[in-house]
Amino acid sequence: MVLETGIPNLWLWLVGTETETGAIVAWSLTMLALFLSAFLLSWLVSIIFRGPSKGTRVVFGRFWDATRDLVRISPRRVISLTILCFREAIRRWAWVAFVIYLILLAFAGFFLDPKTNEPAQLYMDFVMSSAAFLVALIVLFLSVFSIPNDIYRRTIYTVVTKPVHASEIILGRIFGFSAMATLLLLGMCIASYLFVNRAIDHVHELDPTKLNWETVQDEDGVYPALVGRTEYTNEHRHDSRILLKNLGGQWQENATAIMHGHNHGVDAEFTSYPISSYASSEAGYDLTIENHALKPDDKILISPAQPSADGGGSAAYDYDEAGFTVTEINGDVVTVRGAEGRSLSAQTEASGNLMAHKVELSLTSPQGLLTARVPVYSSDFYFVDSTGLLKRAGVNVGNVWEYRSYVEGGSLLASVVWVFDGVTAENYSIDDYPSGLPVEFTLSIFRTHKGNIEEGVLGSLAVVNPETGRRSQSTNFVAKEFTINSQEIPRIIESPPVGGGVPERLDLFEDFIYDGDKLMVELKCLERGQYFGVARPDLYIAAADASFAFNYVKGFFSLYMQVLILTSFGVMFSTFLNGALSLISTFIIGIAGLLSDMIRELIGPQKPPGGLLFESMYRMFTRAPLTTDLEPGLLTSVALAGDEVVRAFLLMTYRIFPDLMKIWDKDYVANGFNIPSDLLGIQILTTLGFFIPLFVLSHFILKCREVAK
Amino acid sequence: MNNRRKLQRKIIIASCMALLLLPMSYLAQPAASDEAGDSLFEGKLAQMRSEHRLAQSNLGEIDPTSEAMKLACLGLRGVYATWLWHKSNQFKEQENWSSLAATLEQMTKLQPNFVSVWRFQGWNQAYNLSVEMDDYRYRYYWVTRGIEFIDRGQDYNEKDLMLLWDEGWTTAQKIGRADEVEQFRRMFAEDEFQMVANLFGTDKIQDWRNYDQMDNWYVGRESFLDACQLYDNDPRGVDVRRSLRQNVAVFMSEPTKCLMRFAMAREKEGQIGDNAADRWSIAFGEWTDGSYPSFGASNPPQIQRDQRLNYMYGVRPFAFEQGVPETTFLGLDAAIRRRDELVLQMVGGSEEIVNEIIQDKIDEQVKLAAEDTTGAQLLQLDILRRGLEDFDSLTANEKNVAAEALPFAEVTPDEVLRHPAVADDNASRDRINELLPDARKAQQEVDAIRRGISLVNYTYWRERCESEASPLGLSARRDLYDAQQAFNDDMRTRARELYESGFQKWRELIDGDENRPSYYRFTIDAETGHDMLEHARRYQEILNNENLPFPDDFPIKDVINNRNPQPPFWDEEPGETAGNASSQDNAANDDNNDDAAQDDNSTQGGGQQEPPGGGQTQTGGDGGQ
Repeated sequence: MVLETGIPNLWLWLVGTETETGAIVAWSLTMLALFLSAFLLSWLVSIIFRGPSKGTRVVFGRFWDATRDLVRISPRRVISLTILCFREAIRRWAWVAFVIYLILLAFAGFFLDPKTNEPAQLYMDFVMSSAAFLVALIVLFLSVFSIPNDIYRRTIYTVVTKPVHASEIILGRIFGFSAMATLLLLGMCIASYLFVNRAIDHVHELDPTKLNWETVQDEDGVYPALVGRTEYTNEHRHDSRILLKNLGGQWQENATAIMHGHNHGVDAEFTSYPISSYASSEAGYDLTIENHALKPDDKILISPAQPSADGGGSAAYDYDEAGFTVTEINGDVVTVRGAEGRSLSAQTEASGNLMAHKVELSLTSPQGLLTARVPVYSSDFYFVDSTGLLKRAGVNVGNVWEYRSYVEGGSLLASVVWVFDGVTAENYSIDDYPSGLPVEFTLSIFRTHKGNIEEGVLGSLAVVNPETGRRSQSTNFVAKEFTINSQEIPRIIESPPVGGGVPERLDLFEDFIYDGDKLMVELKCLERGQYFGVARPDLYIAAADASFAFNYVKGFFSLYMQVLILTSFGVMFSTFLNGALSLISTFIIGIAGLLSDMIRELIGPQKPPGGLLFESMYRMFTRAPLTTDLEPGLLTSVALAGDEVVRAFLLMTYRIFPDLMKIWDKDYVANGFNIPSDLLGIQILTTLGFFIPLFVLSHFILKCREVAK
Repeated sequence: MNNRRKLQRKIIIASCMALLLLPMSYLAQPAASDEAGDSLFEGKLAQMRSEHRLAQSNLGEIDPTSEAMKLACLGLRGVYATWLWHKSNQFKEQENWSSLAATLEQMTKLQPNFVSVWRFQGWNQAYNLSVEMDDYRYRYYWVTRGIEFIDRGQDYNEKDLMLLWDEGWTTAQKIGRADEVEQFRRMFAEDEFQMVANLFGTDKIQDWRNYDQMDNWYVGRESFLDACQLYDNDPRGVDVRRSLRQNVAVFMSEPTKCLMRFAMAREKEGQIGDNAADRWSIAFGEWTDGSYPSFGASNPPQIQRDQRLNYMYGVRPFAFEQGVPETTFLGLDAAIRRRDELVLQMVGGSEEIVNEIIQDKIDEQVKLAAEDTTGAQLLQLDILRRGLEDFDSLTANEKNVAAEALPFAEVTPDEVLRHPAVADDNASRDRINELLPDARKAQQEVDAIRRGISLVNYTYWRERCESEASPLGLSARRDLYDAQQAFNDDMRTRARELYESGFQKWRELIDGDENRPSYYRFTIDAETGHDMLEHARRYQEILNNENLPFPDDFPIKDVINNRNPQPPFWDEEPGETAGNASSQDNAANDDNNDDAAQDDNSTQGGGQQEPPGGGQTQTGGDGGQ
């Protein structure tokens, strides 16, 4: 998952570090400045209109009253007003948003691309964006028109004539509309959760008779595998390689290859029977099998009883044999028909003794789509170039987006290094991580030559102890782009002694952890002329997955926080503007919040190509290219000065308006990553940071209006 | 009083509204028709929409989702569309493919009738996004997405030729000429991602499979044929033809070119025999007389022959009444005849003046050709002179050479004007001035058709079809293919013998004889030349292994020298030969360039490309447009 800025620690974000001011300090100073500005301004205005003595008395009186109101808030009255407001929302058909949402979900299949290669992301994006849009829209309309309408219809007098404070009216409005938003979001969350689960769930058929035999050799020995492809379902299919490895009476767990961001587990039931004799018949073959449990329509594979020997004398299972389907059973005689009319191969017939294997395959629902990975990110990250120099960034292969840097392949020294803190035997206990530390990573691949198109680029992963110089034997892998690659760092690691020699078996936590709790992981690209592109968050230790459902709820909670901020703005504007103007103002705040990324780019240190408003207009009229310097002159100076004003305005907008994109956790949920609690905490505090001053401001403004006196 | 005034005001307003309904009704009344479909009445705006074919239904399918989205923009559709374009670029830079795909969907919903969106983004997906993937399967996935995207665009823009053309081009050229051509073609034949099934239906696929035509070149040809048919069925100048952004000759030549490429691709995969001969023969027929003979079980649309020929090529000498071996091509022939008649009228029917001008032109060319050290131009002019005297006395090769020099034996209206006898003839001034505009127009037509001939590389392809379909051509290709297989199977002696036989046949093919023209252009084509170079390298390796010297009389030495401008590799030490990868790569790059030129209008290789409508035309060969 792309994380262009890291997630700070909540406490450090709040109180600050040596180099950065804490959020609490920055917020307090801003509030103080705003308060003093507002106070001094109103004092000045009051003095001008009422004279020094009366003006001062009025201002101080008002501030005193308002402050007293604030501290005398009655929860009971606030609850009553909240209920009133909630009823108003229901009366004004706010629930229609939920109905529209359900209709959208019902017809989503018409406009969501079924061929997408990242279905989970597409569906999440759709359900969360549409929920945010609908709820924000409905609450926006409710909040901005509520107070102006009450004032216009004079129904507000039925409230203000009661012993309630302005602060309670404001709180009642915000809480009432937020409660409506909560209810809507809750309903949408449940409905969309069911929708997403149902939409992406699918299973593929895997026909055993269409699989081919293959020989596999690994540390457990030589054994057969069945290779083939699943049927085409949901606009894709998976390659499948089923290893027929019997481990202590249990068949090895298998899974299909990853396609469209997921794979499927393959449950294989494999029962073998010796064939006493066989004869070809019109229907196919009549096999004599004693004590079998075969039934018509069972799928069977036939192979020689003993594997043939390859050139090196090892067993070879590469039988040129298609599968068969049982058509009829007469006692021990089983009649079978070859897939697509095929017959036994000459190789099989020549082998004499044959075996029949009943194969039952079933594929599970998609794996890896609806997850909540809990990544443990590194504390340090750097590149080592081909000369051995340490660098913060690797090679730039010409991408405009510089998020990922590239490491050269085929070099002895060039590598990328991640350093993890807190890697101790206690934190990663043998109960939770019995075989080792799971590591997941995403890579970008840049090829300078075609290489082997059929295969991916080779890479390797190793752990290093910089204190002892020990390096584990590399684990090689074939890199897959835009997919999460998984590897495991075993607890017992083979490592050659420094300077070479026979590898020794070392303990991960005893021999590779340095500085008490640090682990260094090194990634290399092994093919010359090819490059791996990585960023710091691309490789992490994968802790146990969190609950997806809870993560989904957290994602919707981030929507709620956005809505709360917008509601607060809406209510604040409605205390002094009419409904239409409040709507436009809040709408602008919302748009500015959603465009915060773009605004940040515009006011960033790097001037945007062609300049801002006035410079780009000037360039358009004079047909000046984007990249050339403008001719010095009066008009150029005016345009540049105008742009400075625009920049100041944008800077102010960026600083004051809420950055709604930072309170938007959709990407986490869609990409299958758990929303970190630090991030959630920061978002909650940020929301409160806007809510509190907006509430206070609304209260003061309403207090100043005649209607609430 | 107040209430009365209010009532009065309301009555006035209601009356004004009622009055306004009349002009509104006149302007905006929707079209209505009776059961027979005849128009009963329609407002002025409806009439204008119908007249200028501006109604949504004139363009293509109407999509309720799209209409709803347009309405939901509340008049800010342009702003939103611009924002989406910005986001799509951003997503592409950030390699956020699923968001990019979703953004493209929204874009097309907002601007379904903006053809450039479909063309640009279809191309973008097939050419630019696909190469961002490392896994060839994902590359193919994005190519299929691009093709399907373009295809969907046709539903909304039924009258746009270029979308059909793009679909054909991407299916044929992107899949057939990518770096991953072997994998792509394999996946295409298996219809991975079911793109072909979505576009053409499973029955069609079965039909193609039955006749061994499930091939990207053949399927791409279907789209090109559809485009040609759409062009021909449209009344001239209305809707469809206006959408053509392509030289007509190039446009019309694509179906046949696909057929040739189909044959070439299959030959490369070892299908050299009757099938290949059939494909090349059919391609020859299409190329030379514009007909579409029945091919297998499929039934290609019959494009009206005369219409097609109007835009196709042809060579019919001015000076020779008969006897040119090529098929007659009506387009150019008719244009030349028109021009010549007018030219003859301009000179008052004096053939002497015409012949004098021709002789002067040839003499002038002879002077210029004297600077050509190779002597080839002089030879060509000499053949032309002999041909003018007695065309039948020329050999097959000479006839071809003479045909190429034909413009030197033609007289243009402006050349007539410059001739002293005409320039000084004041008596005929009025007649000449009267004829001149028509004569110039006829000359422009001749030039335009010639440009088309040049753009489609007509002569080269005609010769190629002919030679590839000939028994000698097939046999030469078969020998070299078998030699390569034998080489791969380590049957070196067999490979050497087959190579020697194959090279000798190529020599014969190149030289021609009394009855068969030389296919010299064929041998300088990039693809064949590169293949020859590769074959020669393998042949040399076999000789090295057998300690045999490279023969001095190697039959196709001239072809290899032409392809390999560096010192001949047979002069290199054995160790250098095998490792000369970089020169091979360069040669391959040259091939791409040459091939692009040869194929007239191809710009794509493997890397990022500028999509159509993106500031650079998609085709290199439509300069005439």
